[in-house]
Amino acid sequence: MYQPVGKALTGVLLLLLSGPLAANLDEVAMLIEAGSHQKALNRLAAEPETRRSRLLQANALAGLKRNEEAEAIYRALIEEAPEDPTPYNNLATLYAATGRLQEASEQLTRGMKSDQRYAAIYKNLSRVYVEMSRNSYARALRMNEKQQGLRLVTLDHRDGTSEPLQVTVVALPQPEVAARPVPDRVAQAAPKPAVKPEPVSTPSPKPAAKAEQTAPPTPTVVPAPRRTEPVAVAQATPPPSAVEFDAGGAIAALKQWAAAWSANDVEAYLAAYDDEFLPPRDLTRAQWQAERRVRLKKPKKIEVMLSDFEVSSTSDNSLTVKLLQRYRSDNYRDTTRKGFILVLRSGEWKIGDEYTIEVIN
Amino acid sequence: MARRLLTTLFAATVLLSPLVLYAAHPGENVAVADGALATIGNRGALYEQAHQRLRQRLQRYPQDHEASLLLALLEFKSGYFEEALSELGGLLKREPKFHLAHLVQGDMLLAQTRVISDIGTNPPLVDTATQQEGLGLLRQEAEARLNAYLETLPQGRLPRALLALDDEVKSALLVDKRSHRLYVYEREADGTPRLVQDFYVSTGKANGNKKLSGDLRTPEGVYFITRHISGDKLPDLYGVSAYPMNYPNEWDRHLGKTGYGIWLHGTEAAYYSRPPLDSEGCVVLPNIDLTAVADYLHPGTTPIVVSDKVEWLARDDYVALRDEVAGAVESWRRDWQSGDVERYLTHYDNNFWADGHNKKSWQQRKRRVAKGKKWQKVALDDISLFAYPRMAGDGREMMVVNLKQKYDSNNYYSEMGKRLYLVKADKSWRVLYEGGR
Repeated sequence: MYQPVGKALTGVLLLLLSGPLAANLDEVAMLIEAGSHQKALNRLAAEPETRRSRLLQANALAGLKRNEEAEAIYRALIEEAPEDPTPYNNLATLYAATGRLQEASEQLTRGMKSDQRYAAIYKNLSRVYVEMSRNSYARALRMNEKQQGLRLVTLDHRDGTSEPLQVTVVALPQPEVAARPVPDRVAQAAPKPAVKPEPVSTPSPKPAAKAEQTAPPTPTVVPAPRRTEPVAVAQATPPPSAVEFDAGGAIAALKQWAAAWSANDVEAYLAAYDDEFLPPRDLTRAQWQAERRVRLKKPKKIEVMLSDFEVSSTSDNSLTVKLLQRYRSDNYRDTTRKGFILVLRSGEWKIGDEYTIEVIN
Repeated sequence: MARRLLTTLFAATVLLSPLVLYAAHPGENVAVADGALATIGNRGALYEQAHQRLRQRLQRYPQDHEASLLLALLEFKSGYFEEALSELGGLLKREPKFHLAHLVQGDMLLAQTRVISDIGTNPPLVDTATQQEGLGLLRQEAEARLNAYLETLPQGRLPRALLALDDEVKSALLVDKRSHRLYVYEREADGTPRLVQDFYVSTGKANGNKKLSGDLRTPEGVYFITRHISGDKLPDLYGVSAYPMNYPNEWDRHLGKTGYGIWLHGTEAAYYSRPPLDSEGCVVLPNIDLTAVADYLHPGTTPIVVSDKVEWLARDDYVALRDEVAGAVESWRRDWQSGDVERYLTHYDNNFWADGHNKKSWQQRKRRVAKGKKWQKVALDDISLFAYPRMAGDGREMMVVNLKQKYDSNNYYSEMGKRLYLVKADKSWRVLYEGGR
């Protein structure tokens, strides 16, 4: 399916590369690569100002350690076209080179989020890495870890972002196109809240939050395979990945879940689980729900008490909570150490995964 | 192309992670020139050096799994994530029981999604105390292995413990308990030792010098490999084979130390290597390494000097000390041969002991024997000199001398292997112990 995209790309590339302007700027780029930054600047003075020429100018300035000038240009480029990942990246290299790692990582994150698909792919890759790392740790500690299925977010063409031209926005060596995201495409591309990128000329105290505003809604909320679900609703809401470490919210959600369980309130209990929750023992969602309904209704009295919470962040919009669960019913009681992955969905923490760490008694 | 940009961004993110053990020197960041993506940048001189050194290790000894692990760490801390993972992947294929390598692989994968500050700091799934403990032990192993790598041996320095090796001693081992390292030396034609290779080892669970049976400590001193026991005659715990050492030696017995069964041995089948402090006093090597070391182990002759910290000397100091001790042995021989029994007896320390003798009874016997001598000739050959680890010598400077002695006289002739313990008292070396071997 990528074949036609690739062909279209090559076509556009060839067309653009053949222009005389591009050739001049290519030479400037080579000068920069060779470390002749001053020469590159001199050459650029004779070129008409374009988005690419300004990017090269900033790169050359950075090479000359004229960091403030370079930074100003990168910031202007970002402001003009927040969807172009390149200036974020280069601004990050500038910060990193001067040891401002936190700011560098913020810029890289924004660069990553400049395209929903990057963000989604990055998130998926992260989840795969986390899962792979769990397997490695299990082997390191000689634990009998069962290989679990991993559910990833799928992407969809519905938002229009997979159009070939949009792909070229990122990678084309001719930023004339890259600079201006074709307006009508953007319009139809995302029901993006008309957020104007904030001026970023001054170091912002909370850049992460701003990144959220300038970035398009993250696609995590688009569980594409389930077409019956109200995707549009999810998209219309502001991006939920508040990124804040919200331990209180996560614990409150789990306490609600335990309260629903204690009250035999099956529907509230089931509602605590995320749509992507993977039922245990290869049960389908329906089978699992049916089983839970029976289990929850059966005892007259259930008491579920949670304590000893331990919260750590797993990824951008999920938290790991480990806790002690004391279960008591008419005829059974146990204490287990459990782990939960909580996922933030439209501002609410949902159970994405649940597992037993250790049965204590 | 988009994929390349992603990779670049990831790589840059990794470089930014403030890794402690994982980042000794910062890598370079990648600027995206424009559409065309820059490569990660040249690999610095430090990287090249370390890379070359580790590759050499692997070339010389392809089973050097530690070198492979270090290579992966080097790639990783320089920002080459894919190279690092592929190195680890290859390593774990060759040695799936290298648990530390699994841990590092876990960290590297996890570092793609969050900041990892140190080896095995916060892996998911580690919840129980036992798992935490296992993690702690792996971290200790990582530390021992990394430190050994970072503390490069000073070039041209020689171990004080191996002052002279005679013809029969083709090789010698040193164990550094603090850095958990076993050094294998070969004898050069002039009797000086030459480092062949070094390995990670595990030692006794308890720190300190062994005193008593069951104290779980590895003894420090000058020992010799006494025999070889094949692994199939032993429980799994001992791995492919075992080489008993002569603990307690003469000095240990004199001090009243107890215990037995201090061996150099391999690793049980379920593991590649063990944590640094793990044995009941034995020195434990991975099986594959023990097999490599086996070529240098000759029961009856191979010394194994175990110390808290190996002491290295500049060549000049080494030669000066060797000549000083060899001179003391020669003057003992000369004075003995001279027939002047009182001058000969000045070579003995007040705390001297031998089998069935203290200094006084030794003096009496030597004076009596001297009366029957018209002439005597003492010839020494095959002299080896081993400096006793300082801390194990009870604060005194001690030497173990192995030699072959030919004694001839008007009424008695003998040839024997002898062992002397010398102690430095009032700036001169005196005999503390004398016995056959």
